[in-house]
Amino acid sequence: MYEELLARLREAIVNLDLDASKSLTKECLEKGIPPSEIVSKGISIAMEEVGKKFESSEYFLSELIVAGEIGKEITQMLKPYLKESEIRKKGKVVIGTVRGDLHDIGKNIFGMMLEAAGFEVIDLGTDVPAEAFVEAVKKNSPDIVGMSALLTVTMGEMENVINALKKAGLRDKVKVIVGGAPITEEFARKIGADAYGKDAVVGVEICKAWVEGKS
Amino acid sequence: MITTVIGSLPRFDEDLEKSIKIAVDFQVKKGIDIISDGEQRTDMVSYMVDSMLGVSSTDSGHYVSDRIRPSENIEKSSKILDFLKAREYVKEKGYSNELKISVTGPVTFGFTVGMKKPGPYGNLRNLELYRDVAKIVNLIAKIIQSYGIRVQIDEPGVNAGFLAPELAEEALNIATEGLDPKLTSIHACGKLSERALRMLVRVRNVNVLSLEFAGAPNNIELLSKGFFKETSKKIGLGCMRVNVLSIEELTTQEQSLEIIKNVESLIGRGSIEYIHPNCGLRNTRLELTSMILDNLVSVSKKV
Repeated sequence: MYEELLARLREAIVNLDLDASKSLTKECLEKGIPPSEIVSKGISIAMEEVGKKFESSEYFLSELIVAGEIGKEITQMLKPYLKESEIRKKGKVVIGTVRGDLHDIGKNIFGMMLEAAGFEVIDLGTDVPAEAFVEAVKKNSPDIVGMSALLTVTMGEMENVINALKKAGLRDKVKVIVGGAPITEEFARKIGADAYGKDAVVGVEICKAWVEGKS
Repeated sequence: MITTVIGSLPRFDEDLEKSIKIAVDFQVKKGIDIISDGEQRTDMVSYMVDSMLGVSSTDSGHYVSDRIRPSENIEKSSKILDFLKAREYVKEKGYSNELKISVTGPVTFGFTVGMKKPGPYGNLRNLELYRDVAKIVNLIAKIIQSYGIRVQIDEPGVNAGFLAPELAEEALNIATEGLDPKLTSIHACGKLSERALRMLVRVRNVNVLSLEFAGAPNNIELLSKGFFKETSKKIGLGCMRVNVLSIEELTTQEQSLEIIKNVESLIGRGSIEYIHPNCGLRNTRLELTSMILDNLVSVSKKV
């Protein structure tokens, strides 16, 4: 019974049907399904399915974003029913587009997907200087720092951020993931980042693996 | 072979009008055949905002605040004003170069502003958002073409995967409705999927698809699949990388010639309308931009 209802909820999320997702979430709660299970067996699995559809080009960024919004909205519905310990976030991520770069589409999609996956996201915005990343790490003690750049002329700034984190003695306290159109695996390795996220879905999977201790 | 640019160039001067004139002179002196206005004012999204109602702006960008519709003063919007400044200057100087003006496409613009806040459209999958933007793109393009000037609809959102190609197609067909095919092109940058290229081939009233091949060998492979031969559309051939930080990273003339040769062997010389650097010169250092255009013109004389 639980399983069937959760399957219908997953289907509604994957089909990007906000109204059905909301009413099925309500029904799940009424039927006594523990909210934590609605999150873990409903929303999380559905979001993974959406990610797979994106990777196989069945879904595009617009679908990814709408799914993320649905995930966020029904998580909000569940919040009053979740115990404090269950609300605890999967991990904390500081994100930003580096200094000199005003592009934020990729960064915003990554942030939204992280939130939908249960992360707490501190978004520093665009044109973020290295010092601001360092300050945010000091203040928020995140697990991960995510940097984005769209321009070749600004991607070098990512290395400055990593060096600033090293100088402040914070580099070993966080994982660093980088992404953006001109970024490559090789570049990420060269500047000393821990990972390259080729897109938001892959980036979130890497972050999940980190906080779950898989790598 | 005819040379052109995608549109934007580095900003030349604080004063906008002076900057547009310098952009025109710069291209003419370099020997570019079909020149642009240099898109000196701002980025491709901000450029469009004052041509419409329903999009509001904050320090962090533009968002949808109401149903998008044309501004009553669309004829005095930034896109049109800057194009007219360039056109007047070309006439004043007696330059014989043709002009080509970039207009941001409905998918790229709609998604970018809708991502911040979709307003009454609810979410980014609502096609009305893209249809409404497409109608404005169409109006701007018609104004520009009424002067006999080429229009290039810029759609980096197509290759970035903002929207399923089949949905993007509908918006693009609205944007190109009633346009003169001989004066209309679409530009998409970076690596394209076969599905996206097939869609671009289907868009109506478009004579040229301006694509990138330097740094995107996958796009050459797509042309080898043969379906491009079934269309009367031509290729604008992006044969030089612009996302470079040093002279060493520039596409050499030999590399560029090789790219052109490869494309030519697949679709024939007659299907290449012009050659150009990839898009994004706005963010390339001026001295490198200058070298890229010099190389482009040299290459055009060798093919």
